[in-house]
Amino acid sequence: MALQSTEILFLDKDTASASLQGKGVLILSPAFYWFTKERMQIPLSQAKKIAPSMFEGITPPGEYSYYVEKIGEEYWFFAYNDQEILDKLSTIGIKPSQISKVYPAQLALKDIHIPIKVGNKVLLNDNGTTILLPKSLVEAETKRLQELKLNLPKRSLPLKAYSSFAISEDLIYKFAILVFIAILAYAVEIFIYKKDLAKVTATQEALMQKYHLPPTSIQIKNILASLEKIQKEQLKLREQLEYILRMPLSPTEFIESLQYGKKIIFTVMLNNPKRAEFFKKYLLKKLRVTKISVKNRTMYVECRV
Amino acid sequence: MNRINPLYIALFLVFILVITIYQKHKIEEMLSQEEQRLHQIQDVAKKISTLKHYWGDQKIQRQRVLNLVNSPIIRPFIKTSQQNRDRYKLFLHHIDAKNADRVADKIFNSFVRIGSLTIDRKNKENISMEVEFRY
Repeated sequence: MALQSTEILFLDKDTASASLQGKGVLILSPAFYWFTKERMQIPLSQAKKIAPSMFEGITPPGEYSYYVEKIGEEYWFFAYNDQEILDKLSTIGIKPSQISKVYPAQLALKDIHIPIKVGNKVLLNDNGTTILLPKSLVEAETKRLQELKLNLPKRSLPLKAYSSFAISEDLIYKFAILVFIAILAYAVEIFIYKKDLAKVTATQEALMQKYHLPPTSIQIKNILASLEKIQKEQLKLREQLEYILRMPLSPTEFIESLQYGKKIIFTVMLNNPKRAEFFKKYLLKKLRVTKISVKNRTMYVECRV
Repeated sequence: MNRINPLYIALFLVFILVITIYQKHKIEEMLSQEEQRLHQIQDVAKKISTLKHYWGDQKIQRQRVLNLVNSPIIRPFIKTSQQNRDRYKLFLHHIDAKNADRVADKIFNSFVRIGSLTIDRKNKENISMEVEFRY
């Protein structure tokens, strides 16, 4: 990555102030990292695994991140404290979002062999290792960082910009995985429900076709209501006629005539007109009698249906 | 440093989860309503089917009336009958009291729609009946 116009910020523990217009590349002073290199015949993935052990006994106690880069035949190992870098950035008023990439000076300046002046110090390549010395100790001609054309590697340090959270990043990722699993579980459930819903709808339609039901529930209700009305009328008719025909008549008494239409009219031949009172009580139990009269021995009755 | 804040990812996933849960509950509710509707339709359909079979189907009603009219209990007493598209009127005569009861029972125990009924007793051996059936 050849830098032309991208802003470069060199961060040292002594940096008192800095400003970035937009996003910039951060170059870390050797004061912010530990560096060691080793010639090894192992793959990068394995080198990454052994990175922490490379700094055992070197770094003071603390939480470190490790970064490994293969340069030629060598593996370059870096250990750094994310929080320390972030805190420094914060004190000079630079937000993590303003930084696009982070490089240790060792990586960023690996191809530069002339001393580089940064503030009142000088970055120097000493037998392949970039070191930071006070300017007074370096007599050679220096150049400013901005004057150089840097060829930065594609990969950069993955700075844990969010380690300042009360919740650790690992915990957030674990939580996110759990949430994702829950989403998947719910999505599967939704899929099953949708399938069930389609089945239920299909069954409903099949049922409507089988019984020749109209599409709306109002029409269905109307059909049901009219059929129930017919049934009610017919059962009532039978009940009323049955009640009249089963009147407790004596052997010589009989129903002379009966008409069932809009109303029920019937005449009963009685043994004795006094019996009419008994029949009146009997009929009133189940029929809506509107008129009862007795002439000679004939009882005339009119009822509402 | 260009990485997306994992907290944002987590929050985004939580948001998706909330939407998914809402969708799940919505569809669950819909399914429950549709299942309930299915049961209602099943019940109503069976009810309608039964009631139609008893009272609503014109063809069945007509057949039942004909069966009734041709039954050995009723047939001997038929004086005359009148038929039109939706009615059948039957005139019976010379029925004795005992058979009048049997005829009435036979009619009342059949799933036929009775429109009107007239009974007229001249004497114990001569009862006439007039029944109107509707289809």
